[in-house]
Amino acid sequence: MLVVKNLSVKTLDGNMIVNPVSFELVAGEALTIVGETGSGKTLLAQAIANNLPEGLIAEGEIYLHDQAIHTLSADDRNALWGKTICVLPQEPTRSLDPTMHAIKQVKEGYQIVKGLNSSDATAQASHDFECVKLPHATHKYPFELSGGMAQRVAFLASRSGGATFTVADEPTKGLDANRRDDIAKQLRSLIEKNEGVFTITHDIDVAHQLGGRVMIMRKGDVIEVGESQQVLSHPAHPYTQELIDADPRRWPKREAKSNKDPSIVNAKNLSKSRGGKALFSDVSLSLHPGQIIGVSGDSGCGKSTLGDMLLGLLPSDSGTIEWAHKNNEKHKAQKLFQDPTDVFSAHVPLRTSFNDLMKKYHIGQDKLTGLLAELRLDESLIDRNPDQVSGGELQRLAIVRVMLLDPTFIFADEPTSRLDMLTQKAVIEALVNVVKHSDVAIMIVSHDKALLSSVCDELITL
Amino acid sequence: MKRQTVNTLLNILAWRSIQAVFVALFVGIVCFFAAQGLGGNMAYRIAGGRYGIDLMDSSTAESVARELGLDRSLWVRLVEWLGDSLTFNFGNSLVSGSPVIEEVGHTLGHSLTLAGASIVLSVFIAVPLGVLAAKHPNSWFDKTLLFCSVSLKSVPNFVIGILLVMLFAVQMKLLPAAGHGDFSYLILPTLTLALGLAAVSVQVVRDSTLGVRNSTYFLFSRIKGLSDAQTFQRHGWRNLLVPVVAFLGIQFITIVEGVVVIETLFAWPGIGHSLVHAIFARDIPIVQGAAVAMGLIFVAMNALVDIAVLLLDPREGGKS
Repeated sequence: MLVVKNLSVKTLDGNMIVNPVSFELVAGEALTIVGETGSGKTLLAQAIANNLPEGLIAEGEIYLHDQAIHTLSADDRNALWGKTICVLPQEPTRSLDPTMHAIKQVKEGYQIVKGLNSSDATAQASHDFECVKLPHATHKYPFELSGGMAQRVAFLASRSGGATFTVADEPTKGLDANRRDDIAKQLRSLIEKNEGVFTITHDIDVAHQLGGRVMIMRKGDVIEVGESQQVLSHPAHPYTQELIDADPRRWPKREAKSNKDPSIVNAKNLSKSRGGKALFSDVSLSLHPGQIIGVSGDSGCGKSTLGDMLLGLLPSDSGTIEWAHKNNEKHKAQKLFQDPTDVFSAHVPLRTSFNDLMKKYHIGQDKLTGLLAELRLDESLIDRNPDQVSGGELQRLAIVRVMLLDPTFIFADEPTSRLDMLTQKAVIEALVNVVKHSDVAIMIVSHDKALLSSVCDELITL
Repeated sequence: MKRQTVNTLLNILAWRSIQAVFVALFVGIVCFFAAQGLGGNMAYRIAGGRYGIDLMDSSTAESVARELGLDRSLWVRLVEWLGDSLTFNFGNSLVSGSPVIEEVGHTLGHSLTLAGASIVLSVFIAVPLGVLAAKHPNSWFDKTLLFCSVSLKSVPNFVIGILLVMLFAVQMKLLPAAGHGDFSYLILPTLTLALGLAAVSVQVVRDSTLGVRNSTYFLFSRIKGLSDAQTFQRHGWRNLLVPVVAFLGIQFITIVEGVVVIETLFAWPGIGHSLVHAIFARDIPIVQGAAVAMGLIFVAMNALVDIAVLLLDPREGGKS
């Protein structure tokens, strides 16, 4: 179905970003690219779909359904969208028009792209909604849909043009295990219909579930190719093994710490409701120096709310929170955000942000140097702007920033859910290391239970 | 329309009605005291307004004071005005003697024509240009447009007016310089106001359009197979208009301030023009009437914007 010969991606001035690769995708068999962020796997998918970011060009030969699509003009390439190539969105909720009913966004593909008349298109779209068990959601707006429902609507919408070759770029990013399995199931159903499915993921589990063939990529090179069962259970390359080992379920279990020291924070009978619905009630917890506590639960259950309540960022409906530190030491309780770009000023060098903080709290330069070394970050990194370092590095820099204040408590809110597995492992190891060398207590919120159970002393499920 | 949307709609109307009552009371009372605080003898000023400065003397001033009961205490007169207002009797002009509601209604009509025409014209200028600029951001067209916006906005409105008069009335003799008559008299004041409005709103349209064009849902629609034009028609307009409509509401409020100056410049018999004259003549009922009318228009405009945004953006229906 898809034949790719010597496909590479370059910048306009000739810098090679993805080295030439050749592969073939057979209808009815999954092809999955696995690799960490920055391995070039997304660019490869975009080179095939022809939606590379500005300033990048693709070279090489691409044959789709025996048509040499690399010879087509840009407009003719774009005309393949929807009809021949289907691209699943990464962020379904944001991919739907916020001011249009769900069904209309599916119907327009049938009507405008496939060319059905209005009533046939409506009938097809309603049928689709029934197939994914969403008949009640046809006349809802995207803001009225849950993340999982929006994903299914976006899935229908992207396929309504009739394409039988699907590109799925990180379709499971930031999702909990159940939702991830749903998406793998959706993709499998396409493969069973003898369609072509080209998936890009950093999640070994997804590659496992899809079966077929896998390609392991690193830094623009294909490292290993083969049957997924073979490659994923008997990797030939050490990097593949590293990727497999990055799965939290394979992490070594952290030793639990005893909690004899007096508690840092004591919370009793906390509860919170939103919009008249109780998120949680009667949650009590206490944290001791050197402890890591995990909070898990489905999305929207109030995990982050609990942490923000402890920090005093949100009021609690009931209960009490007692801190060991004094009122004028509120900076001893810190938060690590899901997206570290929220933490640093976007257009100034990181060093400026660090210096401002150190000036305010009279922190010496040697402390910064020490922490950077401890987290295995090169000091020259902080002379760059936040958008010039990788996501994993920026999150570790955010840890440095938090640790500069000698915190007694860190609330880490999904600190790794935007990172790939290897980077996730590095960041979590950094956090665990921080706990080992200081008396800080950490509360980690995550949708990944395997991750939490491998590093946490205690687990709260909301 | 969904039940929730209808509820929100009723909420808006109820809330804005309450607001209207308070705005009217507040503006009326403030105007009353502000007029008392103005310098000069009020009876002389009113007599001057009625009979002309040359024919006015202490006896005419006294008769004016006696007729209007200006010797009574402030509070008595204020309570009288409030009581009359409750029965929709807004009094008579102290100068011309005709009912306030008639005078204000007449001039208000002229002003609304001018303001409405300006807003409409500014939309016809700003929306196409803004949308076009956003299609190719940072192109020469986009940059030229930004330059024009900044230049137009940094010149006071009346200067634009004078320049337009010099060009179209004095030089080209195409249009009347000032006054009120057929449609041609409307063109220059409307254009003056519209240029000032469009200078800002074109950039709002441009930014809003650019935001929509770069949004994930816009790109998703493209990759679903819809062409750029189809995507823009189906997913562009509505989304880009939400902030634009809200902004037009804010602009309408600034236009009222512009109207006072522009009406004076073009001798347009609108409410701003008559308000200025009424202040000179200490014609308190007219000042109050004009100011209250303007205040109520603010409230009505805000209500209209709320409703328009509610109808455009379904997310608003969930709020109350």
